[in-house]
Amino acid sequence: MDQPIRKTIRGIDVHYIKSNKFKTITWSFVFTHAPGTARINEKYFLSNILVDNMKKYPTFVKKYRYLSSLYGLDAFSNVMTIGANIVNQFVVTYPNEKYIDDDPTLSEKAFEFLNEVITNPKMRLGHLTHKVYKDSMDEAKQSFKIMKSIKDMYAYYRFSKLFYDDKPDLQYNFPDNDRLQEVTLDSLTDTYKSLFDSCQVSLYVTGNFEEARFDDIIQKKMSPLIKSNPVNIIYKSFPYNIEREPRIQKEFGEVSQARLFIGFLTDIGYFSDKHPALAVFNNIFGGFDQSKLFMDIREKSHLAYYVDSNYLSEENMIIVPIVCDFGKEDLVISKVKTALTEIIAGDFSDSLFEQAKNDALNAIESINDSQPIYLLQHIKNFQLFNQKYDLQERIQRYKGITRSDVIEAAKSLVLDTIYIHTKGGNGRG
Amino acid sequence: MVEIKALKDEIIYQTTLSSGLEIAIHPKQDFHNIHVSFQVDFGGSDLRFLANGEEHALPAGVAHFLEHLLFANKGIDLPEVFATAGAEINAYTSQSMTAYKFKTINNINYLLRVFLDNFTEFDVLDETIEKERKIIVHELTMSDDSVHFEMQQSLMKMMYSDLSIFSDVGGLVKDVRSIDRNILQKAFTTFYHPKNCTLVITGNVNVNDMLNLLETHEYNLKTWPEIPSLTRIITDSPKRIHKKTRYLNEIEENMITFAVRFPREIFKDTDRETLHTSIGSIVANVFGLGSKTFDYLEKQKLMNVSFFTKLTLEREFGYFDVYIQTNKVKRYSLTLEKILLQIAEEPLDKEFFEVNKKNILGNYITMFDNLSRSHDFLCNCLSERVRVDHYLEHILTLDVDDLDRFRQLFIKENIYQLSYLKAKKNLKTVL
Repeated sequence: MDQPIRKTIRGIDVHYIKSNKFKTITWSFVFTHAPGTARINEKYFLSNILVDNMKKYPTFVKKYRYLSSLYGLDAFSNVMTIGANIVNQFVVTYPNEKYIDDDPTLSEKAFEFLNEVITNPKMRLGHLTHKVYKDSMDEAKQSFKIMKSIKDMYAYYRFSKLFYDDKPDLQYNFPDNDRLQEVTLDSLTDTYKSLFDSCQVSLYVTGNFEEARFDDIIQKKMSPLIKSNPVNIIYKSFPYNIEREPRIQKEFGEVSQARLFIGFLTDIGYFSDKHPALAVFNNIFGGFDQSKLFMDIREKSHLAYYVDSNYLSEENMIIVPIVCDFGKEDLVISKVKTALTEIIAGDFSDSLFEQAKNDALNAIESINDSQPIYLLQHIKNFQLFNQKYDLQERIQRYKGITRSDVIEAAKSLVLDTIYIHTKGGNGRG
Repeated sequence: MVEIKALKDEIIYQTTLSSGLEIAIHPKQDFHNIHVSFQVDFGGSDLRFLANGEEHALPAGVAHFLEHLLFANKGIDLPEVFATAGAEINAYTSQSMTAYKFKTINNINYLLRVFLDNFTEFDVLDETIEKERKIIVHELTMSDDSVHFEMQQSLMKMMYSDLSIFSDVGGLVKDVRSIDRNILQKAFTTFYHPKNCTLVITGNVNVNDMLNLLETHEYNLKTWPEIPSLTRIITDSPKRIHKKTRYLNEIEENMITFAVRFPREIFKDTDRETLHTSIGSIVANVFGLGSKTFDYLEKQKLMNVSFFTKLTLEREFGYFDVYIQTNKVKRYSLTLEKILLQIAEEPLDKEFFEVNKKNILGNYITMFDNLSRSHDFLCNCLSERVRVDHYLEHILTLDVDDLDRFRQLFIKENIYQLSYLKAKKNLKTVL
């Protein structure tokens, strides 16, 4: 893909990322809030509220029939964190007019629709409607019930609560079920209004398009309500203590297998120099089917069908989820600890190292094959570092990783939390 | 070699090799990755069949067991070989098919050779069979905790009488324990013949290089035994109980599934392309976003985030199901049953039907931005013996009146309802 072009149009930071190989065009507004978890549920709810409660298209039928007439234009939004800041992103994506014979104004209509989503929801007396408030709350409660009915998801939820229990203001749950009672119609409306009076706003456009035409569309069609405000963007800072004793919790229930989540904390930050080495470590540890955990716990010892490790780079965390037989929990935990100790001692083969490195490298190179993922990397880089995402530079960093780098990364890991959900204990759980 | 113009700049090359293996190559040289799939027309429902007129029976779970074993065939640790070459390999088994897939950026020639080598014969150690048996038993046990899985199994048993259809792809633990080398060998010999398989390659490849490699590979040059004439045996008859309710202590919310079972005759006398486009169009018209049904359920407050629909069209059977978790059990049940019956009784929404064609065209175009999605779509077309361009043209030229025959499938005799309701406190679980 081409290198991004950055400019300012009507006070908004605009980024064009052009590419001839994709058949879709995407417009994406990014609203960055001030750092912290204040009104986290309201910000989460805005994602669904705005897309599903448009004044101009008040029913599903009207809205989706209009979108169908625009060749299946997909309008969606999501909420995420970049550093310690919550971000609301609103997106439309649609097929390039080059492939459609009878609608040369599709891009104009798409951008107009996106502006409608953001700036013209159904309101009543200056507030979002009571219906959207109630629907949002009901949906959050229902999602929680659904989550509780899926044992793997519920076990992970319990692990997360334990992990973040001593890390106040670092858990960003979307939604945060423990804080639902804080949400009111007023707080929801205020959060909506804050999109325009206190958020930093950027616009990203990806695809194959003419720059001058799109400059013109933005100039003429962007809503005057959309304004950018200065916002402090900061990293999350995790309390890190190499001497820490892990917190361990065991809960019981009617399950046929035990579920474990083992969480390690690191001081290696997202996008830091050591981040690629930790990604390669994660692969060696449990990240693919040649890893130490997979080969020992599943293939050799038959203790579990499912064992994995996941590197959550923005949470400074590596999680090992395992599903194993009852009574094997302590043995499995011991094997996880042993695997880490072995890696720190350099006890992993050159071929495993090369496989893990290739796997990580392929994942990075594959970013070029996905317009949304490439866009997301740019958004994060611009937000955090005020510069474009340099994929080639990242690839070179991964290529240069050595065994020593991996060992150093492994040494940074502190066993933080162990959560076990298993059978027994008089049915408690 | 047939050149299929899927879009003005997306060309798919299809041919059948001398061994009988049908292949499709879709070059996308702007992309980095290459996806390859080898699909075998052998799945979890292939338990009884005639091979050259002789009847055979397999325990449930054989296709899935074979899938596991073929990662350690001929003494080669396939995941290790692929990982060393920087590729990912995986597989899955469905009711109708087993698919082996890999993804790579580099070393495609080497990997494709090793990949195809793997399917030339079945040669697995006894220790490997026993090791995988243990792993599979573990895998099956994981599903025991899933009430959704259990509900799906119960629904299948409600609708179908033939074990081939309602048994789980993995089988039961007792089935897995009964599978021996002879059974596995017989299954491989019968079904893993090139004429029963397809191969799809999508991504950064040169067509001629790929074709040359495939044509000169031992898999294609080998003298294969004559493929037996295969007929699956399904002796299914409709079940008479159409509604069932279970009371469970351990669920958070009531769970309701409606299913429409499509009669077997429709699979015998309708081509696959027509089946997919017609029933798919009906489902989209009635339950798609933008449908009057969706709008109605929303306004009646009978819609929530748990609602989903799924259309399943396997080789020998198929059904459509609708699921929700709700506390409005009676009202939802009455409403949804009425909506389903109305499909046969009333015309479809013609306005929505026509505007939805633009939606379909748009989705088709955007699919080519995603290598994985376009690869999977091509795999499905090839295994269903459907041409990509014909499929699209068929949908775009379909008339709502063409669907009348298929609307008549949505009648009371074909509709089933299974409800899992939250038991009141202090009540034992009641079946």
